[in-house]
Amino acid sequence: MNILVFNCGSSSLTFKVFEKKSDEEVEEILAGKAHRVGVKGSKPSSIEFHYRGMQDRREASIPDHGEAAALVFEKLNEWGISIDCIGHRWTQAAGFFTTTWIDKNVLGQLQMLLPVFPIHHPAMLSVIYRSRKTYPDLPQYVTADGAFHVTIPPHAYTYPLPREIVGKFGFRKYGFHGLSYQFVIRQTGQFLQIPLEGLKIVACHLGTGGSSVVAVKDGRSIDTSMGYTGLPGLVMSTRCGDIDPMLAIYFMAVFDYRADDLMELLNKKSGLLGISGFSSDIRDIIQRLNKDRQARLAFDMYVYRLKKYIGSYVIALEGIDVLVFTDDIGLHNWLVREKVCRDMEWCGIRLNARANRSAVGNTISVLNSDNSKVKILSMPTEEELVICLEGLKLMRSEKNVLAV
Amino acid sequence: MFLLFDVEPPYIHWRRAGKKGRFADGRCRFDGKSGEQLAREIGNTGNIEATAYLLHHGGGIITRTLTPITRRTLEKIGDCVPLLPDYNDLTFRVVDAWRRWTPRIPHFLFCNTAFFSRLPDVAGTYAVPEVLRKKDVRRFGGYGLFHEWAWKQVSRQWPEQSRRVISVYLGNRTNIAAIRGGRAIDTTIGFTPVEGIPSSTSSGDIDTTVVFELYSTGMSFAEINQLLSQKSGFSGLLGRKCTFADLMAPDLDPEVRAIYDVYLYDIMKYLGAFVSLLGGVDAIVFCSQNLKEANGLIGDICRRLGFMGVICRPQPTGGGRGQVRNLSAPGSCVKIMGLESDKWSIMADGINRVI
Repeated sequence: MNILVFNCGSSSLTFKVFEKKSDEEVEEILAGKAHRVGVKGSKPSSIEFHYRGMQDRREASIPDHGEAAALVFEKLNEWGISIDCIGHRWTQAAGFFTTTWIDKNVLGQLQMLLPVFPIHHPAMLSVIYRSRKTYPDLPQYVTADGAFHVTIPPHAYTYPLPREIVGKFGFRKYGFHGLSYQFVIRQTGQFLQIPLEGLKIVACHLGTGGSSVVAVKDGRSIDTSMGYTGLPGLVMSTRCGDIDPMLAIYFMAVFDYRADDLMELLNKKSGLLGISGFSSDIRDIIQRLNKDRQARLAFDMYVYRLKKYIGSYVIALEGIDVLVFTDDIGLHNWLVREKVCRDMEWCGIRLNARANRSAVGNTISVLNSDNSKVKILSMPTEEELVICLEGLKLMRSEKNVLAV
Repeated sequence: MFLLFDVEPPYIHWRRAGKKGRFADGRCRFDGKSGEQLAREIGNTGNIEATAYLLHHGGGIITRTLTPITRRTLEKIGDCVPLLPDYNDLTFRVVDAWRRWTPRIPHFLFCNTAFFSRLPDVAGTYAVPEVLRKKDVRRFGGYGLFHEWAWKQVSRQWPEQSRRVISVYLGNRTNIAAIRGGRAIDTTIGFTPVEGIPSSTSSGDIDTTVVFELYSTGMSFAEINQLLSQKSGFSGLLGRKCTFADLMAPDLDPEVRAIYDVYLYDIMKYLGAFVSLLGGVDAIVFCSQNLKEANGLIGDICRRLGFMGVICRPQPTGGGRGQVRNLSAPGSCVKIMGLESDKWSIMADGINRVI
């Protein structure tokens, strides 16, 4: 049995095919990624496939995520890879649900959420629609990205708004990147060979699109930097992160900004891009650190905000045992890690500068110095594997129901 | 004797502060009154040696907490009006009228944002596009009067421990400042006082998407503005009026207790953020108008900092403005100070030192 997994980023589509080995074990047989989906710029869009030693990478016109999915289906056909089930990551914003089969009813619910998370929802929906069109008979499921954060206590998820407004709209912190955190937290325990019980972990998921931080105690999320949507928290590639909410009213009321336009500015033109004025890619910004004041400010603000959150969560946890960096920037950017860990001896964080600079991205690296009270790790995340395993769990639970 | 002014549109408040702490308070509407009319409202103004005014928002224009008022200063106050029209316009008119009426005595201006007017860019900038940033959008902060005064108390009392200081104002508008070597490097209040820690009626930090979603349901800007600044916070969560004092009461019922937990947690998060920015902390100073009332809260905060080596011994303290209390127990890695004061006492103290 082969399971195809789709994972939408804001400007990318990651996909993998897993072959089921047993009820709980799978093997990855195909992996790939569509880059710069829907991005207009100097570089063209591209898509890459890795399958049993074969590699295929080419430029292609990929105007949206649905097209990217279509290219994946084409390639699967060409290589004769059969698919029995499709899993999708869903970065949901309102209402918690766990892994669910997609039917008309569920699809309707997903559609209702469209305006809340303007970056991801249209992309995810277009992939789901394209999948249903191409494989109308295949079972498909969504795995909720926020489920990991269901353990956040009320004092951390409550927005101090009028209670009737909260009741009506469901405004509260939900959090995202849950699949990634679920994976790296389990890996952390296994790698260090210590039980998660009693362990205090701060994990930073620093992606090329969205980024967040989580505070984890006893293996459970107790707080995270994103909120009702993926807008608040860290300075991200194009999202502003935390701002004074009154700014939105100020811009609309005093400067006549339309709500849609302003929302677009805060989600897609802010963050690193907004401050630097020239790039949303932290690598471009680092290259110009010493030549461009705005590039320097963008980089410094990125690090600064992250440091604030780590400090907040160390105090929320009343201490810290492990600091984890993951996803593209967390794995591949030693300078970010070096700056973030500077002057953090107050909570026991001491980086080994050499280990940090020489860490490679495709495996777990230990980055702390020997006298550091806190372990510092960088590790790749495997959201697609978690999505796949969640699917197997769903199938098992269904089997149990049938058996009854 | 000093005469001190503050504004709360449409009212102006004043205090006549005598040498031995004796004082008289009052308030009136000020609808373009002349100095003479104002003098009649205030009453006994015969032996006033100096007058001071509190400006709520000086933006990038007034950059010192305390300035003697000259003609140039008055012009600058006029330039500040668009920053906070209702408040600043009233302040401008009071300064103008009272200076004409009593031209021979010194007049001073206190500015509540000045302490934060030179925040480093990394803290003062919002990560939005330049087209939005250039609309005078910055973190302005607030309560600079309290934070600067609190830092001075720490530096006098413990000069060795005044390098990295966190100043916490506890009250209906709780806010926190991170101070390095006497200079503010960050604070919880942002472009407006809504950002940061929730107050009796304002929301504090929320996802800005909430604003857009409320707007899409047909609410007006004025309604959303009022919702976030006047109908949220402790009172919003409880569904009826709830103040700082209500949260400080002993034996809270579970509903209020839940609000206290949100409030305490938000304070802890900012303390952590600021310790992290400062790379550690030498002293934490709590400033409140009623230290006795805030005693339990200070104890709760310090207990949660116990893992950093903070040992606190909150004491039930009696009245007396300008009280300075050492709340750190022997062996505490961080010095803890308790200050009891209000804006009037700090203003009086400030001019006492300069005249």
